[in-house]
Parts: sequence; C-alpha cells; structure tokens
Amino acid sequence: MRRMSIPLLVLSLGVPSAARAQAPAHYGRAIAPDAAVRIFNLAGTVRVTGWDRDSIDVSAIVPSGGGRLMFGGGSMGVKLGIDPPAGEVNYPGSLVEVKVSTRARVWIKTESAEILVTGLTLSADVSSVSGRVVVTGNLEQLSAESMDGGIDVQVNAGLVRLKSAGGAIALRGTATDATVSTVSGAATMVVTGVERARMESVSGHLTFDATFRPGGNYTLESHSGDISIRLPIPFDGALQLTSLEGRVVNRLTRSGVEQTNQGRGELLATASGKATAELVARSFRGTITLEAQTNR
Amino acid sequence: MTCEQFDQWLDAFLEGGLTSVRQGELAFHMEQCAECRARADEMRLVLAAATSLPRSIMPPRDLWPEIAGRLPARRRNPVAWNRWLPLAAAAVVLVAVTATVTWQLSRPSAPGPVFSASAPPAIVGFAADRDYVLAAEDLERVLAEGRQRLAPSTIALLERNLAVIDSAIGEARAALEADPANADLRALLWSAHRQKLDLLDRATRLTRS
Repeated sequence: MRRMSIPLLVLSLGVPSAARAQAPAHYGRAIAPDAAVRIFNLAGTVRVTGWDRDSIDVSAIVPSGGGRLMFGGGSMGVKLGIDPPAGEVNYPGSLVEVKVSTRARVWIKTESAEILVTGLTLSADVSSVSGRVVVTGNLEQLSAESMDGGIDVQVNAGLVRLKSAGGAIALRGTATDATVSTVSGAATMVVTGVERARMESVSGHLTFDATFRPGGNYTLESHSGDISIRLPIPFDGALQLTSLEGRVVNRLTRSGVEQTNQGRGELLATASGKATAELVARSFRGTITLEAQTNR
Repeated sequence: MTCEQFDQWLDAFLEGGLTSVRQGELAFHMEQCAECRARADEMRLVLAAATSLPRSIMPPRDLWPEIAGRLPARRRNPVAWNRWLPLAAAAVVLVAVTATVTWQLSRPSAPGPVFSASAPPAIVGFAADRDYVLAAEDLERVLAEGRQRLAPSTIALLERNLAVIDSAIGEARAALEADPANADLRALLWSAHRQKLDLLDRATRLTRS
C-alpha cells in the first residue's frame, strides 16, 4: 500500500502543477494610447503587435519550470514579463504575446528570446543578447540591439538605430535618419529617400543600396570588410570612396580610380547631377564596389 | 557657399562625413564668416554636452525620502561604490575624448588639394588614441568584475569581437605612425575605438542587468 502511494502522490501533485504552469496566462487592461510598455523575457519569444485600441492584452505560455508571468503598472505605463525561476540557469523559454495601442512606446529586453514587433507607429527600443530581432511597420523611432542575433527590419521610419556585434543586420524600407553598426556581422541597408545614413563595421561586409535625397549625407566605414554601394542611374550626388590598402571598383560611372596612400590603396571621386548629396566610404583594406541598382 | 548651405552641412562637417571638397568649402567659409564660425563653435559645445547626457533621466531628488522610508535599513557597501568609479572615470574620459576629437576633426583648415591623402586633415589623433585606450581599460576592468554574470557563449562572442576590433586598431595605429596626416586613417581609427567602447559599454550593462 505504501509503495503505491508515493508514485500516486507524485502524480497527483506533479501533473496538475505542470498543467497549471503551461496553461496560458492572460492579462488585459485599459491604458493610455501613448503609454510606456516595458517587456522582459529572457528566453523564448516576445511578440508585440500594435492594434487600434486603448488597451493592452497580454498572453503568455510559460512552460513548467520556466518562471512566472508578472504584470504591473498603471494607465500611463506598464511593465510585464517573465520572472525566471530563482537560481536556475537553464530553464525553458516562454512565449509572451502582447497587443498594445499602435502609439504605445515599447521597450523590450531579452537574453536569448527572439523579438518580433509589428504595427507600432511611435517608438520601439528593443535589445537582446543573442535573440533574433524582427521589426516591421511605420515607426517614428526605432532602436534595436542584439549582440549575436540577427536584426531584420522592414520599416517606414524617421529615426532608426540598429546595432549588433556578430549578428547580421538588414534594414529595408524608408528612413529619414538611419545608423547601422556591427563589429563582425554583415549589414545591408536597402532604403529609399534617406536623408542621413551611417553604416559602420570593423570586419563585416556593408551593402548600401539607396536613392539619395537632395542635401543628403551618407557615411560608410569598414576596416577590413568589403563595401558594396548600389545607386540608381542616374544618381544625384558626390561620392568619395577610399580603400587605403584595398581596391575600389567602379562599375557605375566613367570616372577613373586613382592610386592613393603611396600606391597601396585606391580612391574614386565622382559626381553626378547637381551633387548636393554626399557619400563618403572608407575602408582600410576592404574592396569598395560602386555599381548600379538591380531588381529593386 | 552661403550661410544657409553652411547650416545644411554643419552636422555632417562636425562628424567628419563630408567629402574633402565639401569639407574644404565649409572650412573656407568658416574662415570668412565670423557668424558661421561662432555657430560651429556653439554646435561643438552642444555636441560635447549631448555626449555627456545620462542614458536615462533621474527622478527629482525630493522623491527619495519617501522611497527611502519604505526601504528596509541596509548597511552601505563601499565595495559597490568602488565598482562604479571606473565606469564614471571612463565616462568622463569618453566625453572628453569625443569632444576633443570632434573639435579636431572639424577644425578649419586651409582648402588645399582635394581627394589627396596629403590634404591637410587638421586632426591630432595620438593623444585621443591614448585617452580611448585608457577609457577602454577602465571599462574592461568593470567587465572583468562582472564577467561571471555573463553566459559563456556571450563571453566567447565578446572576446571574438573585441579581438577583431583590437586587430583593426593595431593596424590603423601602425599605418598612422607611418602616415600621421592621413585623415581617412584617423577616421577609421576613431571609428574602431568608438566601436570598442560601445561594445564594452553594452557588455558592462549586461553584467548589471
């Protein structure tokens, strides 16, 4: 009798407990349309969607041993996320799904959890250590950081700041002012009408595929990574491309590439149209290639 | 160049993002126009001040007594304060270096031959280089103290990327010693330094979160 009771006891306590933990948790409340919403979830997924309601709706699936959902704040600001189990290093990831007003100001922080954001119109500030970040929508301001995860952004935005160390970054859409920075990851910017853009990397390959705006200013720097510049024909701007110990390849204009840095490097200075926009690209030993846009 | 055009390009000028031709035009205009010169000086001060702004706004001090009253009494830990000292020192150095280099990069120079490595870059980089190194060392010390709070994979990633940056800094520095007037080299060295400080800053923030 006693032998049987222990497994039964374990089952009677363990199964309902696990089932409770895995059941979706749910919170909802009215908040100001431009409320500040702070979300954290170390592992798993955070998905944020903007909707046309002055309320927040949070659903979470927290697996057994994955911690617990917390939710607090008032109508002007809310903080929510998964409190990880105390003392645990390895625990299962949770899914946190949040629907907020499109004009909410959203801040998200994760460790390995991926971050998916769509439909916001005001601002998003997202940060992950190794999780992937994907953002789409029409935002006034976007700041996204990931140490190692890729950052994939397709937006019509005013101000965009994207940073990674080893992860790749892709920015597509339109932006007024865009900065993309990596250490070793590759970065791609395919944008229209950008006024100011800065792309920088130490060893990553940079690809800049853009249409200039009159008076625009664009700076591309990679120490050892290659830089690909793709412009429409014709373009309206002045370009100065310098590779101090590498090559500059011109497949777009008739201007000749000169030698620089005592013959160790190459330089191309070329201009077209009224040349009110300026692009400066420099690399220490990467190859800088200027070519025409294709398949946009 | 008109004053309106000068205004349009001033930001990029101060950040070193203009072609040599345009940079020369702005520098020349600044020499002729006292008003624009003053505006550029003012802008430099604003940029330097902006760099020193805190990452977040502190609440008014008068909130503190109420908060303190609700907290349980706790012994002050002098060691914790010591951990912040290198960060504060690094921040001060970073602000000083950034302001100095911004000023040096944008110092007006006589318009000379354009698109030439021998064009006068009007930058003095080695003092700034040294200050960047010191700032990075301070951050590295803080990072070393909090290292155990980072996942092994994050540490490996950091070390890999810091090695990439250090290698780039070494290369750019060696090339600059051979060609101290090269403005592109200085810009690349400055960029690599900023990347390093930024990465270290992000990593130290991770250790505190």
